[in-house]
Amino acid sequence: MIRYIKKFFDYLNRKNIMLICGLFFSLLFILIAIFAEHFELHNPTEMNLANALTAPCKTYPFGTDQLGRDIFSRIIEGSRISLGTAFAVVIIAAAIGTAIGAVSGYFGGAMDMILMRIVDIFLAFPTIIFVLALSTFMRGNQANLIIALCCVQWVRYARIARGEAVILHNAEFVEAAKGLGAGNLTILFKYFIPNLAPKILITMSMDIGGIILYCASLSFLGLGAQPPSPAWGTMISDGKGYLRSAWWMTVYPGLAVSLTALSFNMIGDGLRDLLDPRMRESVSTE
Amino acid sequence: MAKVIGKRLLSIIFVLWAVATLTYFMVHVTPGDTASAIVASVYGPEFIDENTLARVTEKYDLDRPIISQYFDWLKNAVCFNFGTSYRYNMPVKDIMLMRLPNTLKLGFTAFLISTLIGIPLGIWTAYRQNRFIDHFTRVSTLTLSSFPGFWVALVLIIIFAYNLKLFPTSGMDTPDSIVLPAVTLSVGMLASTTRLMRASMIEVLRQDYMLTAKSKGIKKTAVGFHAFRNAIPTIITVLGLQIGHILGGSVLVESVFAWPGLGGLFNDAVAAKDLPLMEGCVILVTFGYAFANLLVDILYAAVDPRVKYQEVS
Repeated sequence: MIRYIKKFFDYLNRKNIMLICGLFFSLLFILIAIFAEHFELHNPTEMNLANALTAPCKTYPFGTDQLGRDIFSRIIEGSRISLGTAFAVVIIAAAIGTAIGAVSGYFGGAMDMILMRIVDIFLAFPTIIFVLALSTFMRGNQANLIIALCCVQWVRYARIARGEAVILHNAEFVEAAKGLGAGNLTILFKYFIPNLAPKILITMSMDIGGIILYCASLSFLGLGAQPPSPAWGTMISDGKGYLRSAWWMTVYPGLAVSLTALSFNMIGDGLRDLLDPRMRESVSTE
Repeated sequence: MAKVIGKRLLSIIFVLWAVATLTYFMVHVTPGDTASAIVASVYGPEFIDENTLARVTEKYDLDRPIISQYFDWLKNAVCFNFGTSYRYNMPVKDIMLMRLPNTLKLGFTAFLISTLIGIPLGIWTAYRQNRFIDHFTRVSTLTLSSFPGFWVALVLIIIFAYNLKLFPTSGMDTPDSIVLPAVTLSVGMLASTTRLMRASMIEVLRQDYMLTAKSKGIKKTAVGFHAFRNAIPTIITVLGLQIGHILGGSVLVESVFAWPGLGGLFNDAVAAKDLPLMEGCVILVTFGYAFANLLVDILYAAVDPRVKYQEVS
């Protein structure tokens, strides 16, 4: 028996099943988020106090919350918020970070030095503390949550892009292009961006899982989308008051966060294996 | 070496100043001015009217231009004097010093749990690369690191506090109340420690000198010791990463478990818009983080001579 399990795991490893599973489930969750209204059993914001705090049953597979709203439908609707935020943050942060990093690595000099000092400052405190401090002067809504997370995330991309740009700067084909009279903009767009893209894209795919977790944590603390919109973190925070009587209010939204984050993390893990088995587990800090 | 440390210290001072300045202007140039923030935080938002605002403006000396207020604040902050908390009406320094030992206690316990399990587990799975236990650990650590910490906390409360009635739900009145918060805080760290340790150990085991050691015919334990010594730099990196994890994670974990530490204090200060307390917490955390990272770098150079030469040249 154990031998067969072992063989099964061996097989999975050879095929990089981590990556395949991750891609499959991530795609599934993205599709669910896009076609959310087709999966919802009830209206996610409709209150029905007569049915408040119903335990999971046939009509309400994940039970109902303190206002009688169907938790299953709210989780499905919440996947839009969660995935939408995560993708928005990753794309904006990557675009800004790459642009800043590439430009400063290319031109070097005083600007480069100032940029690196700014990066130092942003890396000097844990993400969540920075975002919470930012939140004191921002009203709680989803757009502000995205801005706050971008303020932290761009640093990673700027660092990667700068590192690559410094190497590219001395590459022979860049020298050749310069010799042929190419301008700075041409070099940046024609030679730097295509060469930076793979590394940036990989970093993006590894970051999404973590950003989903940050979004959940921050909406748990009351930042981001405000009720009645069903953000997963907000739902868990609602359930906090009913831990003894209605565990389903807390457990199911949390499972949704974990499973989504897990499938995106699996992509990251699988990619790492695929690209460079030796680079596996290259450190990602808080 | 001294030159390198001196350079790092200078850069820490610069970063601290920048963080302090950034935080100060971030929280003081808020929509709605400082005076109404104070009134809202001390008396409640419904008490904001001209009378109270004028009184508060006079009491906290808010009439002066913000730049001159900033320089006064900075002068005091250098001596760790961050003013008086609006909400507790006590010096920020005293409140933080009261809470600091609790966070250290919680953080140290979580650190012990994750290190004592994670490092041996990482080494063991590295020796068993691609066997069942390795795959199993890899999948389960990836799963563990995908759990949001605050949710783990709530699930642990449901299971162990409400259903099994083994541990208290919150506070720190009894000695066993540290168990659930410490386990929660260590979950994410345990996952990253194990994965990092495994990766670095595999890298070491692949090296030529390991083959040499084995083919010389020395004892298996001696070969293992060779490998371990070469993996020490990773262990130090892990320690550094964990400090960041503890500081960030404590905000959520302490809030859920009502653990009277710095993380919970910071979250309360943000919620109540208690500006001096917030600034104090941010600066203390940044200070701790920067200093811990400096220590890690020094340790790193001490065990790995290659680093020393690199930095000097």
